[in-house]
Amino acid sequence: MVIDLDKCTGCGTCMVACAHENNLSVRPDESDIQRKLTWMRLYKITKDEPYPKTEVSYFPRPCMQCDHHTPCVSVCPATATDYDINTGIVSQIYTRCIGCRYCMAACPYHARVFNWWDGYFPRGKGLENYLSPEVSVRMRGVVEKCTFCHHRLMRAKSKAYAEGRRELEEGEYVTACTEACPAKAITFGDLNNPEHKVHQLIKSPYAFRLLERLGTEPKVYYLSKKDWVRKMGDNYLPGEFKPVTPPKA
Amino acid sequence: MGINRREFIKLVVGGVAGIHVTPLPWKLTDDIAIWTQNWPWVPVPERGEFKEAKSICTLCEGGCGIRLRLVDKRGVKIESREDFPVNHGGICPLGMGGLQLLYNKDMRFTTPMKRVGPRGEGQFMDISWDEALDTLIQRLKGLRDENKSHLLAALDGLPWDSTESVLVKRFLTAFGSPNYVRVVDQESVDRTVNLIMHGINGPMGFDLENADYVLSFGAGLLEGWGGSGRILNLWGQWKTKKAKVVQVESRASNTASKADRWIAIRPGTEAALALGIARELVERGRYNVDFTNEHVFGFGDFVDQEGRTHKGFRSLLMEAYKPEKVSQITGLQVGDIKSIASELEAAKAPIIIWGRGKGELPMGVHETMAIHSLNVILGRIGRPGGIMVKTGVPLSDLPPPVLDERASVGLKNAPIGGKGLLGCTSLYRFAKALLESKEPLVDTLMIFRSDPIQSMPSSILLEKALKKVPFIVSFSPFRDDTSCYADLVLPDHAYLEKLQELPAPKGLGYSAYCISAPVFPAIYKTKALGDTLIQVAHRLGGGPKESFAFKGYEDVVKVRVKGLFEAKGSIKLGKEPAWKWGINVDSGLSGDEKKDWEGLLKSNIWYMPNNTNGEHLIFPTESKKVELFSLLLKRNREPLKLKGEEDLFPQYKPLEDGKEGLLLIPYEMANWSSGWTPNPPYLTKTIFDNILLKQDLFFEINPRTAKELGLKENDYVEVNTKLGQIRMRVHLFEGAMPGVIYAPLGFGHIGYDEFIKGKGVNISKVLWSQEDLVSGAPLWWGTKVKITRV
Repeated sequence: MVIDLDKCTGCGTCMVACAHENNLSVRPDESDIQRKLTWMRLYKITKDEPYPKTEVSYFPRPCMQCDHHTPCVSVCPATATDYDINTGIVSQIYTRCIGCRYCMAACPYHARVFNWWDGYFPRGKGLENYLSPEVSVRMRGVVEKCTFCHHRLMRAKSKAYAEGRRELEEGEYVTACTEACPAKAITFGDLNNPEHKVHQLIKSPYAFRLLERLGTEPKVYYLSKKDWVRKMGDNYLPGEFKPVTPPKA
Repeated sequence: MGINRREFIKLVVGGVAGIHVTPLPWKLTDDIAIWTQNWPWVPVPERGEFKEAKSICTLCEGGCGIRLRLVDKRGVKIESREDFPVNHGGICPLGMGGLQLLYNKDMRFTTPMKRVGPRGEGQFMDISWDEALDTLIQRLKGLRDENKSHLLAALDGLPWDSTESVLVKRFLTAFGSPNYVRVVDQESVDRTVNLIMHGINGPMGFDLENADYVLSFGAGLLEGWGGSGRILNLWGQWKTKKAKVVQVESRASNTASKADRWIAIRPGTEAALALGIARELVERGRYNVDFTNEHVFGFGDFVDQEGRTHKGFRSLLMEAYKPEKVSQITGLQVGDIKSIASELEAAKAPIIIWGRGKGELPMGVHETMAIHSLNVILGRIGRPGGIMVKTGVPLSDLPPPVLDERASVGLKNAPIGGKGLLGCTSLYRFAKALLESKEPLVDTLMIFRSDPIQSMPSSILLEKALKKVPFIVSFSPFRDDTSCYADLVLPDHAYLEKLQELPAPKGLGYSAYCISAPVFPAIYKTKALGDTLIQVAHRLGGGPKESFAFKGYEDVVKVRVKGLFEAKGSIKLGKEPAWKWGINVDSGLSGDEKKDWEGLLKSNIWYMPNNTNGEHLIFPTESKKVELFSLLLKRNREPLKLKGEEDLFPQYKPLEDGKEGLLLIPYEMANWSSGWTPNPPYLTKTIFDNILLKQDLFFEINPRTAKELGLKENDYVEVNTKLGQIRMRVHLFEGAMPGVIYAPLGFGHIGYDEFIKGKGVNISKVLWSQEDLVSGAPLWWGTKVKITRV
C-alpha cells in the first residue's frame, strides 16, 4: 500500500469505510482514545513553526503488515496472529486470542486494539442490520487489527477461480480504505510485481515508511514532498534527517 | 494405609507427567476459550446472497452517486460510484456511514409521535398515523374556518426546487398563508447574489473541474464545502494535474494547510482583500476589458436616464481599496495582495470561490458580491473553469394552485418578517419578528428537514421565539434538536427509503438532476413527506384539495421531469464526463414517457453539459448585463433599508459586536455534520481527543495568546458571549490566529441518541449575530468572548 500524504485531505472517509467494512464495534463514548476501536486511524501532525507558517497534515495508519521479524507475530503466545508467506498479510484469529495484549505492547505502530467489551450493537436498535457476514463480530477479551481486508482478497480469489484464472489483475483486490479514499491518495497492489503501480511509486525519492530503521520492513509506504512530513516518519537526532534535493529538470 | 514421602512424590511427578500426555487440559482450555468467547449477545451477521444497488446520496445537497452492497435485503456497505459524473468516485465520511443513520432506531422517529415531556426534552409517545393526521387536520381546519389561515407558517429546509419543497410552498399558498420561511445559508446568499448581479433566480455553479487556479476566500474545500464527495475527489485531481489552490483563511485548517498557498487573513475581512486585488488588477489594466465593456454594467462612471452622473465600480475601488488600506484591514502584507493579483493574471483558467466552512453559515451579500466581482472583472462567467450562473434545471411547472376564497383572504396578509428577494422569509427575521411582537403571530409551525436550533447562529433567540408558537409540527425522520421542540411528529422516510431527488447538486458547474428510486422498503412506520402533504390537502378539501389533484408524490415528480425530457440533456452516462465542455451527448431518450422514466431511474441522473455557444452570457437583469451597480437593489432600496449609493455596489463592511475580548470563530470538519443530517456513530471515531473528550469540547487557541491569559492545555474555562455562557476546554494550536479562538460546530445536541446526545456544547447557540440587510441572514463573525478559568 502506498499513501500519498500530499493528496490526503484528512477527511476520515478511510476510517469510516474501514469501520463499516469490518464490523467495528462502536461505543457510546468513542472519544476515549484508549478504549476506542479503530483499525485504520488518522494521526494529525502539526508543523512546529509559529503562526502563520504552521501547517497540519495527516498520517492514515493501517496495520503496517511488517515483513521482517513481525513484532506481534513473534511475541504471540497463542499463535493467534500469523504472517502469511504467500500474501505477506499479518492475520489475527480472534478465537485463538487469549487477550494477553502482548502483541499490542510489541507493535511499534499501535496498530492493534483490544476489545474491552463485546461488540456493541444493542439488540432492538436496528444497528445489527448493517453488519457484513464477511467479517466476524468480535467478542470481549480479544485483540483485533487491520487485516488489509483479507476477506476482499478471498472474494477476488473466488471470483478468479470461478473464471478459471490463477492470477489476480491489478485493482481486482483493494482494501476498503483504498476504494473509499475520495482524493485517491491510497494506491494498493503487489509490491513485488513490477507491473503494479505501487512497485513504481515506492522507488520515488519521496517515499518513506514509518519508523523504518526498526527494520520491521512495513509494507505500507508514504509519499510526501514536504520535508517536515517525512521527518515525522521517524525519530531523528538533530541534524540527522536529510532532506531530498529535488532532481534538476 | 498411609502415604509416605516417596509415594507422595511419585504421585505428584506422575501426575505432572501424565497431565501432559492426556489431552484433557488442552481440551478444557480450548473449551474455555470457546465458552468465554461465544457470548450469545455477540451478533452473528446473517448470510445471504450478495447483490449491488445503485443510488444517490441525499444526506447533503451534493448529489453523489453511491453503490450499496446488499446481503439479501440488508444494506451492509456504501461505496462510491466511479461512473457518476458528479463525484467521479469520491465520497465523504458522512455518506460512508449513512447506513447507521438508516437503521439506528434511537436516532429516528419510527412512527408518528406526540410530545409528552416539556418542550426541548425530546420525550415522545407513539401514536397512530390516523391520530396524527386527525390532530393536524383538525388544527388546520380550525384555522381556515376562522379565516386565520395566515397563522400557519412553514420552515422549509428541503433542497431548493425539489419536488417536496415545491409541494410545501404550494400547500402554504393553497392553504392561504404567506409565511414561507427558509434558513438563509450560503446557498441562499449565492442565489441572492445571482439574482442581484446576473438577474437569475437560481443556483450558482462552480466549474472547478476545468479550473487551473482556484482562489478560495475561506471556502472550506476540505471541510465539506460544496458536495464533499465531488470536492475531495477534485482535490486529488488538482494535485495530479498541478492546478494551484490558494486558500484565504485565518486558521490553519485542512484546506489552508493542504493548499499550495495559505493567506492567513484576519477573519471577516476577505471582501476587502478581494477588492484590493481587484483594484490592483484594474490599476495594472490586467482585467478583461472586452468582457467588462460588453457584459458589465456599472464598472466605469456612467450617466443615468435623468442625466445624473454616477460613480462606477472602478472609481470606488480606486478611492477606497488602496493596497495600504487593505493591508491595514486584512493584516496582510501589500506584497501578498500584489502577488495574488499577479498569479491571477498569469493563470489560464482561474476561478474565485467563497464561503465560510461548509457553507451552512452564511456570508454577507455585499461581501459575496465583492469576492465575486473578481470573477466579473476577469470575465470568468460562463467560461470553462469559471462561474456558471445558469445551472438551474428545466423541470416542468405544476399547474398553478387553486386559490379558494379563504386562501385569497389569508394571502392578503403581509408575511411575518417580510419577504426576501428570493420570495421567502429569512428564518432569522421571522424569529426576531416573533420575539418582538406582543401578539401571537403564528399558531402552527411546520418544520421540514431543518435543524436551526442546532445550526443557526444565535439560535438561543429562536429557542425563545419557538416558545411563542403554540403548536409545532415536525416532519423530520430524525430526532434532531429542533424536532425536540415539536408537539407532533409526522416522520418522513429516511434517505434510501424513498424516491429521492436533487435538482442542481450544490455548486455543480453544469445542469444536473439526480434521482433514485427507493432502495429499501420503509423500515419503520414512516410515510413519504410528499404523500403526507397530498393526503392532508385532500382531507382539508376546497382549494387545497383541488391544488393537490395528484395520486401520489411519485406522480408529481413524473409530471415535473417531463420538462427534462423536452430539454437537450441526456440520461445516459457516456464515456466523456459530463463536465467536459461542448461534448455531444447521446440523450438516451426514447420519447416514450414510461421508458424514459425507467431509464432516468436506472442512470440516476439527467445532465446537460455546457457548450460554448454563448448562451451563458445572456443576463436577464434590468441592464441586460452583469450588474456591479445593482438596479435591483436600487429599486428595493427602501424596503431593504439600504443607505447610500455605495450599498448598491459590492463592498466590504466590518462587523463587530462592540465588546472587548477575543474573537470567537466557529469551524467545521468534513468528518462531522453540523447541519440537519445527524452524525453516524462511526464518525465519532474520527474525532480527535483534543476536539472532544468524553463530554468536553475543546477550542483552539494560539499558545502565545493562551500564555497571555494564563491558560494551559486541557484547562476548563467558561466562555462568555453577549448571548450566553458555555463551558469548554483549551487546546493549544499554533495554527490558530493570535487573538482568536476557534470552536467546532455540530456538537451539544439535545436530540438523537446515546452516541451524540449531550456531547460537547452547541456553539451556534451563543454566537452573536447581526442581520444582513439584503438577505436577512445572521452575520456571525464578530462575536467577542471573555474567557475565565474555572
